[in-house]
Amino acid sequence: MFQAVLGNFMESKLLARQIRIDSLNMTSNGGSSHIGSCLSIADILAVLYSKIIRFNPHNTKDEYRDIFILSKGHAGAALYSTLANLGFFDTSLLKLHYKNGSIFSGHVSHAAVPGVEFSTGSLGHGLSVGAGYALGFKKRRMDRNVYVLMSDGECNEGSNWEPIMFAAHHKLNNLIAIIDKNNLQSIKTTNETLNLGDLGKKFTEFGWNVVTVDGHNHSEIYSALLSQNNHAPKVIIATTIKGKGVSFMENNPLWHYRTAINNEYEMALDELKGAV
Amino acid sequence: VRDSFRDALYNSMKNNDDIIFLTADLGYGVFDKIEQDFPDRYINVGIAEQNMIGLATGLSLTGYKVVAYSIGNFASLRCLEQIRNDAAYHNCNITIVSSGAGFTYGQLGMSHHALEDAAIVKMIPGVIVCSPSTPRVAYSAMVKFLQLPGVKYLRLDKSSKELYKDYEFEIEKPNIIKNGSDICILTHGSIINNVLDAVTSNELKNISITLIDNNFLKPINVEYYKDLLKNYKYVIVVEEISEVGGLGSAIADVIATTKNLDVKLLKIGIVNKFITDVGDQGYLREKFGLDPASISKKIINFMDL
Repeated sequence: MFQAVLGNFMESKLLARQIRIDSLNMTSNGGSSHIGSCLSIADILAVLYSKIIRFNPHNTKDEYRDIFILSKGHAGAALYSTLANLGFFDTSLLKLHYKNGSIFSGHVSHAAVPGVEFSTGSLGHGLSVGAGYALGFKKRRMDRNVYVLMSDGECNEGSNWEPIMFAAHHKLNNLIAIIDKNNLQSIKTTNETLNLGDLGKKFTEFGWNVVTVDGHNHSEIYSALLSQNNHAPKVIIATTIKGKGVSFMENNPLWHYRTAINNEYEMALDELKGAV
Repeated sequence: VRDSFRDALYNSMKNNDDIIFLTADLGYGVFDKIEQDFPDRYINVGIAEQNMIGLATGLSLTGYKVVAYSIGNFASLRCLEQIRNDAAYHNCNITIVSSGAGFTYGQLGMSHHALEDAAIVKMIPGVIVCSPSTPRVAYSAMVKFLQLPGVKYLRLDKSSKELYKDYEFEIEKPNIIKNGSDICILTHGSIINNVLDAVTSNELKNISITLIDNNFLKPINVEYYKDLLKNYKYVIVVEEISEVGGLGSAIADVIATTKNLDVKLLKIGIVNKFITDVGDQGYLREKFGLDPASISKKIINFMDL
């Protein structure tokens, strides 16, 4: 089992940088969407997988592993990159993303990709399944955690609020939801589309532990993931920037769909390579 | 039928700690003994069917065999995408039990008429759809389903009439109730009682009839029917479900895709329309042509006698 030791965040920052570069390469090379969403969650994924989640790339069914569900399945490229960089499969395969005959569909699929626990793509499914895992581990008295990465726009889906109630009622403190709060959804801002109001307050009222962090600050993400989680599930509301790391993509909903080509691609790659 | 499914579940839970029962806040009084004797494995998830199927999926992925219960369309249409994307795609051992098939809850109105549920659910790859005709079938289906991987949809009504002395459950197995040479009637679910009344009525007494209790909407034994239907000029499917998408449609597929099969098909099901008439199961069955007299009459007309 792999779980990185405490220390500075150089390792996770290098991983985040690689996830961003891979995601850009994968979406540009494959001609797929959602680069903005991938850049948004790169730091969260990097901290989770380099410091928190217990996993075993040599045995994807390891009975002590934690469970990670990418409920915002459209950011699949970022998760594929994470798993490849942690040794689940060869990074050279990533260039097949979105190609005919490939194992990498745009929305994350467990079918043929080692390390992907759960397939998503339709929003509002991951948290219920995560709650089911968490309940199962509790019933079996297994010390395993379940991490579900969602988006703020995804909270529009009513199906999320059923497990939000359920997880608090059943005191699933082994369930950790992380909301990638980039304030943008498919077409416009979340406030303009369907105002979520004070999301933290909503979760608090629903009986969850709430921690709010800068979703690009590794130390903050790390501390929030480690914070005490007594008798209630935890949600980490991670404020992020959609398109983070590429100046012309940041906070622009266009990059939910658009593929960076030619000059755009070169410029984006330069910016991402320069950053740690 | 519902009580016997419950008894099968109770007995299975007694022998296997890995079975968990979820209900979306339905079954008042029905599951008291399960709750009492297995408090850790009885969970009322609240009125939240989408969550119920998501939870069932997660629980199943930690090794549990899950039975998820609700009524009519709530256990199917309300959570259809969870059944498809979560439970079925991940090949989870989940038995979804929907009580209140067809017009069971007739007077409760359109929302409670379960007439499309099984036809829609059976489109999902890999899902088994079973419509037991009698308590013994429901009992053995429940026991068997817990041992099978994947999603099973068990469609129950409240009939308590038993036709079988003993019943050995087998997936896809058609049960021949009666052998004859003129026509072949297929059915599933408790409407079989009306079919039996029709078959023994004066109108049909001079016709030699084969009656098969199919018990499944999916899978069906295609090879068996290809072979069997060679022997008949007329095949009739009677079912308490929309005439589009049920067993009748499946048999139509078999006939249409089999060479040299000279058999005519009559589908006796429920018209694919919203039904605004108020009445109990007996009343609505009669109104929509599923009472014994209507069944006999339709068969006579079909055969042009």
